[in-house]
Amino acid sequence: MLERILRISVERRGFVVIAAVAAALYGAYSLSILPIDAVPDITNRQVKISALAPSLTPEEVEKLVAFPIETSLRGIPGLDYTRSLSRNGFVQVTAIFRDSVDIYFARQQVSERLAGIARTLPEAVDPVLGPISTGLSEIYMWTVEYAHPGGAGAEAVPGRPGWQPDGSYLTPEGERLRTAVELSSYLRTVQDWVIRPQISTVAGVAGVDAVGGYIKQYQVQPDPHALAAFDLTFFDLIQALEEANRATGAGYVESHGESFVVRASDRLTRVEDFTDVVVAEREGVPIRLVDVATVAIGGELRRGSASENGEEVVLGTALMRIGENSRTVSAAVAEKMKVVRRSLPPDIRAKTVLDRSQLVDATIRTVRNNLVEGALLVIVVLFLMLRNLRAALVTAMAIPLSMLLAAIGMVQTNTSGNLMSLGAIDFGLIVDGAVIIVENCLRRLGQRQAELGRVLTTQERLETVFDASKQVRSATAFGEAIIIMVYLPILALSGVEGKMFQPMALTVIFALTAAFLLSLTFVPAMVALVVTGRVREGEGRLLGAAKRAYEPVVRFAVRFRHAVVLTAAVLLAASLLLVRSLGQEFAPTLAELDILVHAIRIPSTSVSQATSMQRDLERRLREVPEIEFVFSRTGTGELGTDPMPPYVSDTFLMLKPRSEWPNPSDTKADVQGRVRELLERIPGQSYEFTQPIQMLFNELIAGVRADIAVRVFGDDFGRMLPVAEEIATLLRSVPGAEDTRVEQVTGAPVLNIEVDRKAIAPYGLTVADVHEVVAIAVGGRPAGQIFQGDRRFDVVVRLGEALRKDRSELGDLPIPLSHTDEPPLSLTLSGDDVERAPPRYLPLSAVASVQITEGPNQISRENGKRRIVVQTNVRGRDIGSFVAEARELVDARVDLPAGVWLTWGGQFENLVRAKQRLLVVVPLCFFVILLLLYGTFGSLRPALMVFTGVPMALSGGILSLWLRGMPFSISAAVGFIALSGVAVLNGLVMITFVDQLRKGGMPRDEAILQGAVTRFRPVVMTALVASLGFLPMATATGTGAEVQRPLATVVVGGLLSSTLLTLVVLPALYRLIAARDLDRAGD
Amino acid sequence: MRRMAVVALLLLVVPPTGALASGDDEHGDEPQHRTSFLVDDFMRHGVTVDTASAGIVDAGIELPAEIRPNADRLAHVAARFPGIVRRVEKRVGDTVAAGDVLAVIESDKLAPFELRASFGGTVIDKHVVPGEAVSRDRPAFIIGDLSDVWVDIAVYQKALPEVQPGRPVLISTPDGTREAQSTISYISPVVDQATRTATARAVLPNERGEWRPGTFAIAVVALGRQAEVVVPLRAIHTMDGRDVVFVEEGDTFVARPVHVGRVGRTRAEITSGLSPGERFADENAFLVKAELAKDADSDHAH
Repeated sequence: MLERILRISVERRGFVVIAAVAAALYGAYSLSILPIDAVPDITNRQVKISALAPSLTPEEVEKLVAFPIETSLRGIPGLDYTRSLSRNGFVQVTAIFRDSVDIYFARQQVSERLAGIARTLPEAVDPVLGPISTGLSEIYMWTVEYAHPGGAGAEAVPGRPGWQPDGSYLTPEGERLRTAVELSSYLRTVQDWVIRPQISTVAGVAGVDAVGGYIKQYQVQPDPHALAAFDLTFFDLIQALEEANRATGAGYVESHGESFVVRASDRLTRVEDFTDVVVAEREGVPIRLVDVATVAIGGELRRGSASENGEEVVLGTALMRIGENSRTVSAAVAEKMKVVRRSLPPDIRAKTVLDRSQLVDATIRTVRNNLVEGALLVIVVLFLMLRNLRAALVTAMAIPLSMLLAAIGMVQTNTSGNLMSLGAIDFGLIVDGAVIIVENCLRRLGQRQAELGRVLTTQERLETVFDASKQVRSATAFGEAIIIMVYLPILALSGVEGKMFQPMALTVIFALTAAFLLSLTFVPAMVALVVTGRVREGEGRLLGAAKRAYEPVVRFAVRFRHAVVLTAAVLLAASLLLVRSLGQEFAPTLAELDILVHAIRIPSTSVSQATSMQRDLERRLREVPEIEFVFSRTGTGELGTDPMPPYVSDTFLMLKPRSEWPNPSDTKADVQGRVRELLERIPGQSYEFTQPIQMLFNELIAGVRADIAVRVFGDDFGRMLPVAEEIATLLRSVPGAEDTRVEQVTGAPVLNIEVDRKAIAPYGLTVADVHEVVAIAVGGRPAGQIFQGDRRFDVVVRLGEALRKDRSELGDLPIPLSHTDEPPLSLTLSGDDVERAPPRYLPLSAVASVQITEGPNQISRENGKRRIVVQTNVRGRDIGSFVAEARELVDARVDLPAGVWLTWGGQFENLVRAKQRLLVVVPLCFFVILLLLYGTFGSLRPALMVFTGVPMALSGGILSLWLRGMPFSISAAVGFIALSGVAVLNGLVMITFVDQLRKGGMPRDEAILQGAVTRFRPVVMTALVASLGFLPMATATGTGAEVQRPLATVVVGGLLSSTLLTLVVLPALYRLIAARDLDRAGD
Repeated sequence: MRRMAVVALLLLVVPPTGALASGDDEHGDEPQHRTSFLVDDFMRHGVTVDTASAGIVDAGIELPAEIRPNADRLAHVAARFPGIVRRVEKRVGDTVAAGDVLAVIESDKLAPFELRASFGGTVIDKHVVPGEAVSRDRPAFIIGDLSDVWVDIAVYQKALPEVQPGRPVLISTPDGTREAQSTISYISPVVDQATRTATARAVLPNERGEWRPGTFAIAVVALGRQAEVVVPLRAIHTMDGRDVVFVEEGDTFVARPVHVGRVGRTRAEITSGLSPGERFADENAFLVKAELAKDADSDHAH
């Protein structure tokens, strides 16, 4: 088979080359549409359900909303587990499905279940599914802000939209904005009604989230006393508003051959319209809205805010749909943003603050630089060794070609490109097959020319090329099959580690398969085509010298074979001991361009307080010269994809390019240290440092944002919390622990209103009467909508801020009493006595007690049980050893009460699972390699002999990790896997050659010597190109380099040791093991 | 606007009616939380420091009220004999002096006679027009002296012990446009069976007629009382379920458990834990709490 393909390739060389070019063009197209991101998207199949339940406390939300939803989801096919988070007035339930489940099917199922329980949920609680996005979907963020906050420095023309001389802002719609809330609401209006509709139409955008500002509302703020004076209730007011704000269609009438549509439209549109709404009539006198309430444009009771450089802004986020290409989507959003900017009102700007494509581009640059540098090194090495520019170029052409062909495979299988997958392609490895073939062709061509003493005819040349290719082909074919084989175990990984490394394994397999195909077809065809004229056989001076130096080494190794093999064994054993001293981590962390700081306050902190603390913090961060700008998000955005409590802020510190730093040689860690120092001088908050993508990543891995998460499960917070706190204390005592925190489940202050049933009885009040008044007064009640073009705003009846703010005012809240007979306003003056009119209301304090207590802050559940998470980050040491130490400590010291149990999660969880999986699969894979080798040689001894290359290569890899102080990670493990393939390939080539020589009748020792020396060039060459190909990656410092470094380090180090093995130990081993065998055969 | 006046009024001192201390549980003796930040650091971030001193706890109860004519100065003027009204001299709203002729009545039996005002005041109501027949049973005029008016305050049962004659009271209209100060002059000895409220009354001078009878009003009865140590409510915070004030000790703040006595609308009495002259965190004291609560979290570690 191989022979036929080879023959056709050589004979139909022109056709093969054209076909290769065509394939390359298709590959180039595929590459252009290949989804590329910085990191693989590890989001599991999840459906997020969130619901607002205004005025429900966390416990009630859990009881009335979270629990029914969780229960309803049970039994959906493919459901893995559920999580829920109940907060004050908000719940999010996450249903995690198995990866095989189609996300649209899952959403469909969830929707059906939700529809089934809709009736059982409390009124006005309407669960909605989150956008069809992943955890890494936040690809593009912008702030909406005034270019001149407060109008300072802006050109103010009276009457023209924009800032006015009196400091107010005139909108193009003709509204005059004066207060901070009004100005802030307008920014949100612009975001919601100008920017969002345009951005959400961009292809690949799943949704647009917004946080900050206020959603504009028309607030009708009743004066409770005035209402009581007219014997009106809040409900009368709401009803009056709804009835006054209507539009009705009434069909059409025909008249004189025309038809007229009839409509009655009396919608309120402006604040002024409200004043004339008649609420009630008393003895023929209309009571208008203005008599009992004031109307103001105000903001909703917000759950979050946003700020930038100390000013409140609105923060918009474009969320990418699952499976889209983040680079193209964010580029499309950026393009659309240019259009949007032209339609913004005067002095309002949308500033891009985060653009994923920048990180992706930087990442791609790093990968590209590494690849280009690696490829150049490979070409130089090839040229130096082959001493034939054409042959070197032919070999090197295999690099871009196999890359392009791999891109086809990736696009066809929906494998996304990222730092790990693209970075794992070692071009040295790819050209191995081609190198061996080209080298042999050159050698044979040169020999043939030397024999004939002339330039070969075309026919002779083709024959020689074919023969030469054939000679090494089967060895390389097996070798490459083995290299591809070793990547298969990675495909067996599951979970997060599977999502992380499978794209990489697939990419490498595609590239290797492409290289394999090329080495059979394109490479011989090209050699036949272009390597014409004189071929100078023989290596350059350098290689010649090396080869001459090598010969005595082989002799020496063969003579002192016992010592050599023993030394190798000792080295191997020593390196295995080293493994224990290596640290462990799941995957190296991508060093992003920017810093993210969580500022965490105590749970009782209000949104306004948190916002003002955050603004103070931002203003102080401006002092750090390396920071270009700071923006942050406090609390939860509109879509609630990332339900952050209002007392936590994500602070994004966007750094200037390093060249603009006062001291460009500082590291990011230096800057981070200075920022931490600065922040720790601000009282009242604590901090966690991470990076924008890392945060999302960690959250996806374990549902928490930190490296390690200990989950305490149970039913009763009272029992769970002490356990959690004890664990936190123990964790803090373990060296390396940083930012250790217990989930803040308690500490939310509650203003507890308890109706005194005995007190209300004499007044004819019910508990519901009192509750309703409190609910409307504090939380508000919707009373229709105001339409302004497309824009629509809620009308809400609620007490004014001044009344709501003051705790003591709440006790004075008038509870209206209903009366039946007496006319309320008429003065009863009949008779001699003046009857006192009965009171129309009672203050709340007369019928209820108002007390401040502390309640649960948030309730997290997993699989139907409450849980408290203790989380910690690990700095300055590897996670593996940290967890081992911490677990031992916790197991020894913590006494778990009945009904409480622990699980350990976080990044290390994946490391453990991946290690377990690899522990099974890797030995299996080695066994298959051995089997393949056995098949090649037909006998076990040479197979075992070649196989020794694997442990030897590993020892070099381990040593190099140890020397560079890198921990063992799954990335490094992948490096070891790649290594074992290459190590086998080299040994295979040498042993086969020696065997061939001996079959030709050469005595054993001479065959060993000659085989080793003849194969010196290809062995050194393949090793050199493979290690040099990874060298730039092992030493790179660009964006994303740290992700690739462990893999490259292992391969470079391992190849050095395995080459040494092939060149020195293998001949010795051969002499040692194969000796008797062949002697007997020789008898 | 109204709030300011309320607060101002509530600062009026009322002679104490007895100690209202209700110390049930005793604080203290526990390790105190101390901030690692200096007082100066906090002040840079907006915390103000105030000195504890004696003052008035501005407690008060808000109650519904209604302006009524002074019933002691109200006259129902009726014709002594039945007859026909010939002439009406005064109309509603007219000011009358004692003895002024209100109307002239023609009777079958007598000569025409005059209806006269029994005292000076304002015509509040009139039921007669010329030609109308009048009788003894129906008052023809109601004359009220509106130079002062009554404010009838509905006192629900729970508030009865607090509302006593002599208490200062601030009367205001719901829209806050008009307000005046007075004292409780009378409390009805019985509670109305239908409404379960008792009537408390204050008298308001009404020379300019601003307080029109029938006006719905809000009465805030001041329960203010002088106390040894008074702090603004914003300085009192809850930590670990107990009330604390952040006291300056050395150059840092310490969370000092205190016992809160009477609580007013903006201030509260501290009965134990804070001595006059001690300095405490006042505005933005929340920052101190936030810092201490944060420290408390990590204190568990060591």
